[in-house]
Amino acid sequence: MTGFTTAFPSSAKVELAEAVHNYTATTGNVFKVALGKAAASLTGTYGAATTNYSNLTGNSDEIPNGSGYTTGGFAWTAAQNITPQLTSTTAFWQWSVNPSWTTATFTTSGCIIYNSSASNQAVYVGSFGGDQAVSSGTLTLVLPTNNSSSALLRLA
Amino acid sequence: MIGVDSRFQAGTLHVLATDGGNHPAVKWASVTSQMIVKPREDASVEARAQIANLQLRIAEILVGVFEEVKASTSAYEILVITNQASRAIAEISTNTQWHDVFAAEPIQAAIEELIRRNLASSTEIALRME
Repeated sequence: MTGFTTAFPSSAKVELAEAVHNYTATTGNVFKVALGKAAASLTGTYGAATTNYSNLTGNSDEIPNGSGYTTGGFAWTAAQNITPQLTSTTAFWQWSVNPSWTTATFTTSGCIIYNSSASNQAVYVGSFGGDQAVSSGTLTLVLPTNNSSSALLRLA
Repeated sequence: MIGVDSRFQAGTLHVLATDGGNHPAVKWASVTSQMIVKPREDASVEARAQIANLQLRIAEILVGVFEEVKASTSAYEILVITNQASRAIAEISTNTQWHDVFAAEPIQAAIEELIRRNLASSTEIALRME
């Protein structure tokens, strides 16, 4: 079945041990978030088995250029990484800015966050719980509270 | 050998979509209040009602805050507004069972970061659209 399932990609778990990803604020890597098409238009399946941004583009499942979206997606600067923190035994990290698209007209059902400093390897896959449509307006991905129970990426 | 419960966890993104322009302050306030306090899945009906009431009171504070931030242009102004908002939210929890939770330093820090991030997002959008 095609579509997005929210997941911490399995490949990213190995890559953490290999020091592929650096989430440190300012001195770390540059991460991007790319949006996938509406659920009915998807040909691929995205979740824990997703390894790279190319999984999305290879299936032509990314929203095309135009109408307020540029392929490749929203880019955080390294300064917008929030350096991983620890509460008790749980490490957590995410970004300090909500990705946003203005003057936008498109429908999306999920996203892939990837490390553009490390061969576009995937670090997060997100489902939006169904199609999210916007017309000549604004679409924002609101990141969760950055703590040990809600942050986008956690290691307990 | 002692077992270790280690898990990689992925959080949830909330999508805010507004047709024909920017997100209104009331939408930012609503989503932010729901992120600040939310019921556990096993919460009782009574607890859910209390939390819904608290969310409404927080949202009332935040509507004013998000309206105010539309007119601000500096990071310092946003910082000041964020501090005021987090203090106001802590005050309304004074006579509730959640006061100790709201008063805890890590929770205060997380609430401030959340409000600041969402305020900054709304301001960035407003400035970009000018």
